[in-house]
Amino acid sequence: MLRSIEPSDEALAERVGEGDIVAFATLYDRYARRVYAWATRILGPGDADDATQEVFLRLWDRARQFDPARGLFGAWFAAVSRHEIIGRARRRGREQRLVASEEIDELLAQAPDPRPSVEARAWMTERDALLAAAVRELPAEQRRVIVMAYFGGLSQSEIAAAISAPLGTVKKRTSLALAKLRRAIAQHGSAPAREG
Amino acid sequence: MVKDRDLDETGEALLAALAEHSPETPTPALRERLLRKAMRHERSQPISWRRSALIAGTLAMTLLLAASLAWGLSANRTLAQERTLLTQLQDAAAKDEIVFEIVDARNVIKATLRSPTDDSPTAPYGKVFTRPDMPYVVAMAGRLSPAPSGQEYHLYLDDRRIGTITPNESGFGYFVYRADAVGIAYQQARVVLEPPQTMGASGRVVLTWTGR
Repeated sequence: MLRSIEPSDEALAERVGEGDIVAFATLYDRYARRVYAWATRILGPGDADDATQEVFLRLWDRARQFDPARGLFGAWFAAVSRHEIIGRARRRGREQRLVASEEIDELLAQAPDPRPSVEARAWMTERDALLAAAVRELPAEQRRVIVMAYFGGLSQSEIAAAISAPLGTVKKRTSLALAKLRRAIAQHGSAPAREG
Repeated sequence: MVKDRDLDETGEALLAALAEHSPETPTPALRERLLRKAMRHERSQPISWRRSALIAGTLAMTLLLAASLAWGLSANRTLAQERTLLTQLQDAAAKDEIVFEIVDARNVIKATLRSPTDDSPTAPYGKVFTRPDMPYVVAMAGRLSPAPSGQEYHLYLDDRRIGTITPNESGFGYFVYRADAVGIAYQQARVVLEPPQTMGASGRVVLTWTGR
């Protein structure tokens, strides 16, 4: 079996905690597209740079708080990113977050770009692709509510009002979507060391 | 009420999906700006450290600042030297469309070559990309040391030497090879350091991969 010689995200995060700027740059290369894509769609291109920069400065500042015993770096960093991006988005009002999250849902409903950039291709691991496929395979109504909750930071009541569905239905769809994604994450194991 | 923790647990999958579907890419300028800022950025420290730092006094702080500046300069140099294989590939690939045709293909077959002697994160490594429906082979290697005088890095697929990898100043090199036929399934790839005229892979094996 081929073995990667690149360090894992968790090992890099530990080095970032010790002030290793090269490790920090590597984590940026691996994760910047995700953060930037989210920030662009929720906050707009004009503020995406600033938000992305702030997310990574948080990583630089707080990497020592990451504890691999409590979970994978990807999940921890997703939480860091969400805190910053949704925090900014909430200052802009619900309507903008609603529209942006609907656009993200439409995007995720489409087939992925058949010709991603070399950068995108190189940093996307097989596990990433499997997790993305798990999102794509969610029933449309479940994907919609989880996207609105996660990317748009909308409450279940806000989602229920937006899609004109009973709150109980939104809760059930969210719960089902979360369970399926959790299963996918568990099924595909921990993040492997990435190839260069 | 859905908890933030529940959402964060699945955020990894959602972000991977968004990245897969999104063409947006941050500019290289943002990366440079961020890294510069990070090196200047004061990292938050535990309170006890702050107290100790105050007690240490102005002289210690001055020394620390000087050391930080020196470290920052050193880190900058290291960064410049450690441009990723990816960035270099992009630079090089801009000149050669066929690289994209192979590397970006959904049916690409990729072999990762590694050093038989060095398992460290800074060890040299290589990749060989092929497509079952095209005759081209894209080969690349990174972190190679400059070849000693009178020697070259030769790439062998199975027992056939198919090309020479000439690393640039940061140790990256690549080339595109057109095979005799489409759909050749290679079982072995090696990068061998040897004199230019050698054809039999008799030199030192720097990188290797063997198919199962």
